[in-house]
Amino acid sequence: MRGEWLKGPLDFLLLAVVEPAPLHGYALIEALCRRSRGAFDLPEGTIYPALHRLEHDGFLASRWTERVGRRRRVYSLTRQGRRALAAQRNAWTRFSTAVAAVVESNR
Amino acid sequence: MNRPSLIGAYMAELRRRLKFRTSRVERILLEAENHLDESARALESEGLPREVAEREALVRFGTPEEVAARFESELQDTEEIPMLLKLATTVTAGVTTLVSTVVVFHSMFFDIQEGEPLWVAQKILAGSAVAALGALTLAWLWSDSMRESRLETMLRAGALGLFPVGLLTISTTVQLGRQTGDWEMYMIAAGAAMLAQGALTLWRLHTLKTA
Repeated sequence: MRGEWLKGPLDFLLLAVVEPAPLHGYALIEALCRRSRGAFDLPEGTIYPALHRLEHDGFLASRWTERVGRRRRVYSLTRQGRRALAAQRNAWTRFSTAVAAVVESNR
Repeated sequence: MNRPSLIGAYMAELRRRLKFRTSRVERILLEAENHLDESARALESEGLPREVAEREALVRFGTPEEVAARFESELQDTEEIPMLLKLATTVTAGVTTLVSTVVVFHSMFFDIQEGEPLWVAQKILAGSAVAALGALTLAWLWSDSMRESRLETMLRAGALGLFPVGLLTISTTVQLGRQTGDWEMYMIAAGAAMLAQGALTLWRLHTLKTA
């Protein structure tokens, strides 16, 4: 699933992926791919602009960490991000339930 | 002769296409390079030769045009105001640091001869604190490593502390001016700069939105 389909929910997905623990970009993309069972296949480089914007908007925080001589930028959810994620999760649950109810009723 | 790696050539092309302030470009490039290297290593560990692994990592990452264009569309609106804010904070922190340093030295070498040691000690103490905070704020604004050192709490407390010190500086100077007719306008400007530095530092911290 590439491009336009994912643009809308991408912020929501990124916040959800870093919710359990802080992650660096590569690990975050791996987790996104793994948790979607390979369905979300965006060009990996386009995730970073979204991460930077989410950080600018206050939903994510980031800091450099160093491990085995390698510097990585690790992203974590802020309080504001956690609140936004909870709100989006509720909205998504209502939306997907409503869509399923309409679509499934034709079967 | 060593051939430049594919990732190296990609990074050069991405750098050429990114039109942001230097610190943001450096961060983007470092993150991209780390990602590509990690991705290529993972592919190598699956048995691919290094060059093939790098090529595949680059395909997965997206072209420099694509990545740079996405950065531009996502971040263009976020560039200008923080830079203006950063410059404004720099100017006010520069003014408070300079004036406070002058006040400290003036108090140490001249005011002390006029008596009132308690008042002079207060001026030296407050001036030193404001100068130190100004210097710290300037370092934090312009040095990535300082920003990484988690000084936010100290800077926030210092910025809040500037409000009473700035107000006290202005009110005391105005009061003395009324009494003596000697209006030390530079001290009123320094007090105003302290209030501005406090407000701008808090705003800058807020725009960075560090958790």
